[in-house]
Amino acid sequence: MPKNIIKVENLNLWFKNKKILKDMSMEIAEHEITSIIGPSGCGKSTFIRTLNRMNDLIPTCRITGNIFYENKNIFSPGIDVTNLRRRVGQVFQKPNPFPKSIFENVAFGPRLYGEKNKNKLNSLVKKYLERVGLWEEVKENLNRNALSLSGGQQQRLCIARVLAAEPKVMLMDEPCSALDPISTAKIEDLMQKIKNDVTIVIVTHNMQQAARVSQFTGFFLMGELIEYGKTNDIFTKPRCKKTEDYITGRFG
Amino acid sequence: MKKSRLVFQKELKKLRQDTFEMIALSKEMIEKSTSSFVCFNETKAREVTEMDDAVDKLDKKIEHRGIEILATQQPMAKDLRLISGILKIITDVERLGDYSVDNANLTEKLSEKPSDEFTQHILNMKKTSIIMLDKCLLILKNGRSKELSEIISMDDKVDEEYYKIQDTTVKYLKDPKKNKRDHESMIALMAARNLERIADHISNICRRSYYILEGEHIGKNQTF
Amino acid sequence: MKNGRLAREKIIFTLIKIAAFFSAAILILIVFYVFIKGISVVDFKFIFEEVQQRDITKGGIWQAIVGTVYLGLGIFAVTIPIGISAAIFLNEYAPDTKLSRVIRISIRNLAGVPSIIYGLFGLAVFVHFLNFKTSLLSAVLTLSSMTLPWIITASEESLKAVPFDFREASLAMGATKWQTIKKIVIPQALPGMITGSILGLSRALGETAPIIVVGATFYCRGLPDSPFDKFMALPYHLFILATQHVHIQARQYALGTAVVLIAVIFIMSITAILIRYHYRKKKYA
Repeated sequence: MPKNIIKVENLNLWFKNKKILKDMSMEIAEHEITSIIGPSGCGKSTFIRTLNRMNDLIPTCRITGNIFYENKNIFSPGIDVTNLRRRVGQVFQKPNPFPKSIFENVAFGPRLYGEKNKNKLNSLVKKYLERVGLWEEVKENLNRNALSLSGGQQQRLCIARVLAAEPKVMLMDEPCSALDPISTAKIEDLMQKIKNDVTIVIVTHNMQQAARVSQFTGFFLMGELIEYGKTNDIFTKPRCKKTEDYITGRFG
Repeated sequence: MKKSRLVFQKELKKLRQDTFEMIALSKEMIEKSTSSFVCFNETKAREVTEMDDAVDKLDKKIEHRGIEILATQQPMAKDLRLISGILKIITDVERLGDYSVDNANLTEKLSEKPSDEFTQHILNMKKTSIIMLDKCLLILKNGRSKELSEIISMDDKVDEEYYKIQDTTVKYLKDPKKNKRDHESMIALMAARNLERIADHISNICRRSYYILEGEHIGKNQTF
Repeated sequence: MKNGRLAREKIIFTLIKIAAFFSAAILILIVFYVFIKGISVVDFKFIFEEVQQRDITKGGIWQAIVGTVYLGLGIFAVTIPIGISAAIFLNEYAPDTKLSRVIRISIRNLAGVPSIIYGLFGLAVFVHFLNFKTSLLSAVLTLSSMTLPWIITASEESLKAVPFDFREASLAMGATKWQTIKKIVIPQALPGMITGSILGLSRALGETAPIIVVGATFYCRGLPDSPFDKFMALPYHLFILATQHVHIQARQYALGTAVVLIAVIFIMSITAILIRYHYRKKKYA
């Protein structure tokens, strides 16, 4: 088992009085892709949004338990949330580039953290656009508005934007659910390419995607972590009946 | 558990039924070919040859359907194991048919009914093989893998009978007085050898069934 | 059954169409009337020469135009920073409590208070209490208080129109709330805010009632030198010419002034539309 970058301990989460996550404990291996699968409403999105404390935005959200990122409890008062989110970036379900130029989108992170040197910014933008395989497609005009790109390109731009912040972990919340198979394949290839630098946690409805891309898979059901293990095992011989029912599609 | 993926379920059921049918056919072939051999009955031998076509057809059909289901339904976990297992099992079953045909053909090479010294062992081998196959079929049908290792160990019994026939053959060949039975004993040895292979393939089927049901190989250091 | 539904649909559409044409017709009618009657007096002299108190036909309406422009600039300078800040506070920072809801509802309702009430308010607070006298400053502040609710509401709406996705994306990048507002939300909402503000402003500039009470005058010599001077304004000038002036051509000069006032407000509306168009084009280029 490789080194863990995130460790979740007895996490419980409520929205108002509704319990969304129930006593969850899991460890996320560094430099691997961990996928989280489960039916709608099982709490998988909520779970990854807890890892970078995006649930803080929801006023009715209440949390007990601990999450350790690089051995530091992310809920302890000394933690700078903006710093945590810089380290634990997130890609959303719907591609959401800012309505600015392609350049400004990628430069957003570096600018945020104080990079002002234009040459440096130029080379960073190029580097990360190349990283996500978008450079050749957009290099003619980086001042084009990001919203004029296709859905798949927008999503790759969003990944470039996150990568430009040089995160250690990238959370992906159903990043391909709005994309066509070719764009999906590009993003899946991209994930394999970057996983040595960035630990990836991906939430997906698409079991085949989880099976294709990840080394570890967690199965969530009604806010509980039912089974967590190597992807190869989960998809060939799950230990738990509920997992098997879900994976083989016998779950109504 | 709610009913879902009805098309998929139906396809899987059909695939299983075809596989069971193929196993049942080859079982009949084993029985028929053995009895044609021991009774020196050439009509029965010809029937066996005809049945082989049906087995071959089923083999191709199941393989094709299996691939189609893999491509269109993306089975996972136990479903995936079932289909990939069936795809391997049918190769073994098809071999059962081939060996039966071989034995039926050996009947035609006989000049008279083989002596009891051979047929008694050959019938024992057949009986054990059929028991193995029946039990394995039952396990595949009801999904309980418990007895499988016992069934596999029954293969040793078949082997023992085969060694006895070997010994008898060697005895015949060495005995100058029984020279005229050289021909018969060689053919009996070949038939026994085929039955021994049949039992091996049946234990392969058992091992494969275990993998289908349990998701791992039975025992350790298995060589197929 | 099917035919009945189709017929009903047709009838309703026709009614809607008629309503639309009707309101457009009123506007066109007014503008036409004013233009045909008033355009004859509008010339270079009318716009750029000062008002001659004895004989209005000898001069122009320069002080009134400048007075109105001063008013506009003043209102803009006061309301934009306050209005936009208030909107940002209300929409982005204020927690959703009873108090904040009361404040929001009050602001909405303030937008509906009759303008003369603002005039009286200005008279009491700016003219007397703060002792700014009847002056340009008092008028600017009075009209600003009248415009603020409008601008706050419009700005809040355009802030609300910025999708949550963008804020979420920015926050997830590790931006602080203020960085997110500054870099993402405001640039997105700004065109809407400015358009709303200009429309509010043009409404304020057409107001006569409040400024009568707090500082506009029918005649003053030259342009105001300081914010504490009295000033002339187009709507008030128009009002006096139309109702109280004895000159035989007063009515025609009133309409001429109306042409200029409409033109000023029209130019401002066009500017608002151009700004919006410009940003929209940039957004989806």
